[in-house]
Amino acid sequence: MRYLKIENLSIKDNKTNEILLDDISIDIEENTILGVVGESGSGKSLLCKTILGLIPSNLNIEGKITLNNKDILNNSKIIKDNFCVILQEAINAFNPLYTINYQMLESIKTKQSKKEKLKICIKYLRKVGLKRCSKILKSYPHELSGGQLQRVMIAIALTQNRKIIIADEPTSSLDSINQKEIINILKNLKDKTIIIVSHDLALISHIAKDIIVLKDSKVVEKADTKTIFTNTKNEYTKFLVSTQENLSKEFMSCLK
Amino acid sequence: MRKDFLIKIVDNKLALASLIFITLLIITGLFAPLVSPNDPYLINLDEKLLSYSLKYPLGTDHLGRCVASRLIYGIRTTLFYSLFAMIITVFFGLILGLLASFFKLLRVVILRFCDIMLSFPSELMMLAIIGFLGTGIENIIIAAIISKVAWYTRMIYSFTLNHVNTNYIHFSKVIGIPSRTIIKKHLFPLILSDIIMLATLNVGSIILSISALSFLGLGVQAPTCEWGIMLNEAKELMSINPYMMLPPGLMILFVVLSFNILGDSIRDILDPTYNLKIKDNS
Amino acid sequence: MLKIKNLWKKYKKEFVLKEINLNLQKNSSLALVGESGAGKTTLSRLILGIDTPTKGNINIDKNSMSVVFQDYRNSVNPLFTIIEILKEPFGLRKITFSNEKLEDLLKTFNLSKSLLDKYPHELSGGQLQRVCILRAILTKPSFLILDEAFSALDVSTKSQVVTYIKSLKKEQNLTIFLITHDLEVATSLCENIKILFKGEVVESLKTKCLGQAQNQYTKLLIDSIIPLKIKETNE
Repeated sequence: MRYLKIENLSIKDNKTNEILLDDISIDIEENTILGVVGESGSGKSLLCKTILGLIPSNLNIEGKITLNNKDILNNSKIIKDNFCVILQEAINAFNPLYTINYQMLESIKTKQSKKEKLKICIKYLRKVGLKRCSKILKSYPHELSGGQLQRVMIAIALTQNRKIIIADEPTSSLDSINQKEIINILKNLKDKTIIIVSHDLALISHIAKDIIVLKDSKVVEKADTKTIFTNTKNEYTKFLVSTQENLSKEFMSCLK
Repeated sequence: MRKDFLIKIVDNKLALASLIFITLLIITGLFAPLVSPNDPYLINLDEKLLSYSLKYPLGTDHLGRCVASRLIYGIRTTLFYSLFAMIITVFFGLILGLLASFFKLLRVVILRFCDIMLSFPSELMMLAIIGFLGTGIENIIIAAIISKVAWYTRMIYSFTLNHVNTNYIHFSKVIGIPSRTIIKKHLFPLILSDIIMLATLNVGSIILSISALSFLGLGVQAPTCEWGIMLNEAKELMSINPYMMLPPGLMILFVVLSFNILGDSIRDILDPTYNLKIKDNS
Repeated sequence: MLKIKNLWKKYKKEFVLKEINLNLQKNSSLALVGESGAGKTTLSRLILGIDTPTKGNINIDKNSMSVVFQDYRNSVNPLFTIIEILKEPFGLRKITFSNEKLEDLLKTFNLSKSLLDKYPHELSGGQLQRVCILRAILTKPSFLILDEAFSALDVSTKSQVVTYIKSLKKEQNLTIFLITHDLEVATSLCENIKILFKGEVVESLKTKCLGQAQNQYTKLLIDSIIPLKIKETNE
């Protein structure tokens, strides 16, 4: 039985009649990592927002999204119970007026005492590789670096304890060392289904089991990672892989 | 850009209504002698406190003068003087604000000066200046300008500050574009919409100040036609003829409202992301 | 073109830049690589004259210099149309604006001509950054400063733009100063690399000799680049 299934999803802008997502069908297995790649503007972020039910009202949706055969397209309760999200620019995800402490506690909606909630916060902050957690909890968002904030955001997503994590370009705004560490954290999460969106093919190749390639709002290829890199017949995928190689090859040659 | 601008104003019904109203008012004020039904200064005690009629469209006041004519001539005093005061205030505020944002030494002097001026409540300062200079419409204008200029300097300074540290200003400086060109081509259009918003808000508050001071008897003196004085006179007759407060009161209300609406709309229109916002609202 | 001598910068009682020395000759290219917090932004602000150094001095040849910033939204006046943004530097210089050259470049950068009359907020991030890079090179500068200019681009656009700038470098003898955290882009574009860590230059080497890096931090940076797993999946 397929876990998360997207069937013939199409999104159209009512005012301009522009098609933003064209007949997308994806099957996602439980506890696997799916990578969604494509250039900017191909519809990756819109796909995530649709799954989460976060799109503006002037867009018309057709198609079905089911989780364990239950329709979740506009069912906010199921979405709330099963999904959590990690966004691209962490600095925009936090309210600059409140400390991390306040914001983390605010996002834990279970009926536990403040002490217990704090324990949970610290546990997950440690899990994402942050040191001096008590200092971080007392800080304001602007006092932390981009890498730290992104880790806090992942920690918050983990405290939600949901089965499915949607990560929309979680490391784009980070430098390479932070990027590698965070991708490894995501890779090592157990019992979670992750949908990770990125334009960086190398990153996706490192972490995802299956990959979907989006171009101009359509799915051009769906395959597992190995096939994408070795056996792909699709021209666009080959193009993406080759541009990535282009950048890396000089780097690789310098290392010899 | 101009054609675009006009189309957008016409689109926004409320802004269009305000613009038409204000334009009509200004034209009426300019052609007051032609438009007003009677002589606003003509006292006719036989015909005092009449209700509206063909001869006196809004009736007469306690001295038998035509209320409608006084209202129309009052446009010249209230509206035109307010517009004049606003232009002067915003002009000085603009110069001082721009100077303060670009030149470090002047910044200290100008901002400290503003701090001192702003430590007095503006109405109180106006009263003090009037007390010093004496009553009369010119003195009210001077008082209005002096008490408000510091605030506008501060506001314009903070508007420019928003833009001075941006990358495009840095880019222009790096490639060597001279400061005055940067001010003219970049800064001025950027703060223009904010200035217009400030200016229209200012007109509203100056009209209210002039009317308030005249109401207190400190502004224009009788028999000048001015909406504040008309309110003052109506106050005396409140028990026997409360209707007399309505024409000047409603006029002040509508004019201030129109300016505020117009200012808001112009500011929205001058923002190039205007269409984007409309999309999200639907 | 750019000479930095013994540069120190203090910010709130702490030294964010320590003893920076740098000499960029004409027709050469240098990449300054460092993580966020290393002092790159501070250094670029000092070089562009937005800030003043605490100690030391910077000598820069301001003739025909151009710059591309990281934050593309902030790099363009939101009230200008794209064509006005592109034409701005031409008011100054004695070079005339050539429409054919513009059309050629638009094609190379994969930007359609219809964009010229649009406002910045109507363009996507990638398009806007390409416009900024286009603006910087339209005037044929001899010195180009790229301040994290590629960080906001997706991989395929990044690759295309880097390739283009490389060819430009050869054709026009462009001197390039690149500030970035991306070691891959740095190796593609520049012949020399300096590694910045916590405000100090910890290593200076030629790009070709990257494999022989001595410094611990440099090795860490090299390791953190995630390679495409093609070779492994082939086995």
